[in-house]
Amino acid sequence: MTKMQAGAIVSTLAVFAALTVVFMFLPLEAEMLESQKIFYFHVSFAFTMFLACIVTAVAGGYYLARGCELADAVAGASAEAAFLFASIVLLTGMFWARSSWNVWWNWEPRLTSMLALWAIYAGYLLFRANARGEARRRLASVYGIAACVMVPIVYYSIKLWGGLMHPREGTIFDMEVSMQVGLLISFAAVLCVYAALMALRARIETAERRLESLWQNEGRG
Amino acid sequence: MKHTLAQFSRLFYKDLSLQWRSRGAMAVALLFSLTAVMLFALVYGPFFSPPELPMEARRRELAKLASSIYWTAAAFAGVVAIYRSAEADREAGGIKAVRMDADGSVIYAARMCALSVMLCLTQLALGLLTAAFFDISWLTLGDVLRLIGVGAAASVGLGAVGALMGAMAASMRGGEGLLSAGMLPLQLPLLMAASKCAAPIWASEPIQEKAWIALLVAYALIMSAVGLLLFEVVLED
Repeated sequence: MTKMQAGAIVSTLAVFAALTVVFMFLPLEAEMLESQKIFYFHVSFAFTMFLACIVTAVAGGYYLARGCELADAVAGASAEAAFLFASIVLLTGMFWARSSWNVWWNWEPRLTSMLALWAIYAGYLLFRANARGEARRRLASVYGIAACVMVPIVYYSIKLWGGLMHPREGTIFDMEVSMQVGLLISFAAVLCVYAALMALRARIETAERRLESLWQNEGRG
Repeated sequence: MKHTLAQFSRLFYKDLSLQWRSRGAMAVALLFSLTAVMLFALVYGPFFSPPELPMEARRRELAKLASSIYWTAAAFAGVVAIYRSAEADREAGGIKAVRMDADGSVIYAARMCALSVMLCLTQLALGLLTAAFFDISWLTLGDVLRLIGVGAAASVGLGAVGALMGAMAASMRGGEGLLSAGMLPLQLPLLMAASKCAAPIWASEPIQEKAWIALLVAYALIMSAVGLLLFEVVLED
C-alpha cells in the first residue's frame, strides 16, 4: 500500500467517523434541530480553509526565498483546497441560513467578505492556470501572499462590523461539551481530507513538472 | 537617497505622462457611469427615492445609491487605466528598459503614485457627474473634503494593487485578459470599504462605522507594502 492510498483510507475513515458521531451520537439542538448538524462541518471547513490560505502564503514565500519547487507545488495544492473549502463553506452556510432563518443569502459583513475571499482564490487559480514555467511559480507565490491579507478580514468581520447570523469569534469555548467534542472530531476529519488532497495534488503537480521537463529535453535532443 | 528620489521623480513623470496620454480611459469610465445611472434611473424613476419620504430618509437613500454607482464606475475606470498601462509595458517592453536603471521598489512606487493620481482625477470627474445626476446639493465644503480623503485613500490602494497586478499580467502571455479576473477580487475589500465610508458622507452625515475607515487605510498600506517588497520578484525574467 502506498502512502497516498493510506492517506486516502485514513481520511475516508475519519469522515465516516465524524458523520457517525455527529448524526448518531450528538443530541439535537433545541431550536435548530437537524439543521444545526451542518454547523460541525461548516465551521470545520471554515477553519481548515483559513489554514489552507495561510499555508499557500507561507509556502509561496518559501518558494520565493529558496526557490524550492516542492514549496510551490504545496502552495498551488493548498490554494486549490482553500478554494474548494471556501465553496463548501458558502454552500453549507446557505443551506443552514435557509433552514434556520428562511433566507439563502444575506449581505452581512461575514458573508460578503467570505465571498470576496472566494473570488480572490478563484483569481489565484485562474492566474496559476494561465501562466507557464518559472513565471507561473513566481507570480502565483506573489498572488498567494497578497491574497492571504483577506484571512484576518474575514475572521474579524463580525467583531469589526457586527452581523446577524454569525456569532463573534471565541463562542466555541462557551458551547456544550458534547458539541465541542463533535466539532473537534469533524475538524480532525476535515484536516485529514485537506492533508490527503494536498499531498495528492502536490504529487500530481510534481509529476506534471517532471513530464514537462522530459518533453523539453526530448525536444532539444 | 538623492539618487533614488531623482529616479522616482523621473519614473513618476514618465508613468503619469503615459497615463495622461491614455486619458480616454477616463471618458470610458464617465460613459460607463452615465449608462449605470441611466439604467438605475429608468428602473427607479422618475425619482431615485420617493418624494413623499422625509428629507433625511431621501438623502440617505440617494447617498447609498450614489455611493454604489460611483464606486462601481471608479472600479471600472481603474481596470481600464491599469489595462492600458499593462498593455504599454508589453508592447514597448517599457518596464525592461526602465529596470536597467532603477530598483524594482522605486519603479513600483512611481507607478503606484502615477496610477493613484490618475484615479483621483477620474474620481473627481465621476464625483461631479454623480452629484449632478443624483441632484445632491446639500454637501458642505467639509463633506467634499471628506469625500476627497476617502477617494485619495482608495486611489492609493487601487493603485497599489493595480501596479502589482498590471506588471504580473504584462509578464504573462495573454495576461491582459486575466488582469480584471485577478485584480478586481483583490480590490474588493477596498471598494467595499470606500463605498461604505462614502455613503454617509454623500448624505452629509458622520461615518458611524469607523472600522470601514480602518479597513480602507490599512488595506491600502498593506497592499503598498506587499507591492514594494515583491515587485522586484515580479519583474525577474
